[in-house]
Amino acid sequence: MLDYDGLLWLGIITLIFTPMASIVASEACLWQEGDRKWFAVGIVLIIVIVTGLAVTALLL
Amino acid sequence: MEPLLLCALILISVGAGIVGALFGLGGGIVFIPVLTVMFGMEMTEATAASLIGIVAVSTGSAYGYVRQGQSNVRLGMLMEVTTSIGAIAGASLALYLENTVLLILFSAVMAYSGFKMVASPERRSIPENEQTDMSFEYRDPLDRTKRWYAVRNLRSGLALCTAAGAMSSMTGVGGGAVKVPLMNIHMHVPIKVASATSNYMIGITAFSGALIYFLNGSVVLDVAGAVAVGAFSGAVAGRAVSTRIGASSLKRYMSVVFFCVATVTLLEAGGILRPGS
Repeated sequence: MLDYDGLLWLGIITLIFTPMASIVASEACLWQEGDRKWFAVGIVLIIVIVTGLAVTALLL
Repeated sequence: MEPLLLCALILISVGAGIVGALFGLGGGIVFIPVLTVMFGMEMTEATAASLIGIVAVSTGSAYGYVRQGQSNVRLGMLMEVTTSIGAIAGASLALYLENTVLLILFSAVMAYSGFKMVASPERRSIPENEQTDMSFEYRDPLDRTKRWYAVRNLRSGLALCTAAGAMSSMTGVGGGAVKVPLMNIHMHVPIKVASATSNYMIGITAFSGALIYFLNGSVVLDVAGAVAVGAFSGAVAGRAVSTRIGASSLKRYMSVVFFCVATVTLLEAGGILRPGS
């Protein structure tokens, strides 16, 4: 069972990941609509974000 | 942190969230000076809390804007690709460029944007026979009319996004403050769509930084929690207020905000308002 601090940390990490969740949700909608061009743009965005995280982790 | 100070921080964050949601600004320009100058936090910890605040503003406002159809998710994702590339480049270049010069340049860009916001009238809706591949529809919540607009100057706009991303990562400010006028003035996106789309984008921009600071242990729990709660609440309120403001009025208020941002940044560049000192 999480204490107050544990709940707060969980809430903050959940908040941090909501933009990624929004990208995933957008991608799901674009795929459902059959909009492959913009779906591909979303995939490129995810790749760029992951690459940026990897580059930053290496620099640190 | 003292409970009274935390309450004050929550209230300030609510204000920043309202302004951020209304104008598509992340709020970093408010969070960082408040946390460093007023609350005496270290720059690293203030930046970590600020990034979490920006994500909270985005989360609080973007849901409503996307549901209303005001946010252009497609354009936002496209612009974020080049912004993120610029941010990666900017983080590398930051070692070689003088921060003061960048802040002065940013201040000039903000002052120019503020002027153009007031000077350039909002464009009318385009008729159906003028629609292109980059034409989109949105519903203005104020009068519930559907309008079409065409995104212009896409290539130069994306190139400027790269520069904006680089500048943002080098100075720590300016994600939304650069992108909203860029979309509205240069790319001919209606101001309400520009601010709503910026609200969608700033969360994505802040995500990487917030995650890295979190993993580095730079997040101060109670401060980040207070900023997140306040910013989220303010953003929800700000989005609700935005439905009652016309496009022309929004541009006028935004120009005032941009002039304030330009002034704060200039004071920072001049050492008068120096976060972390």
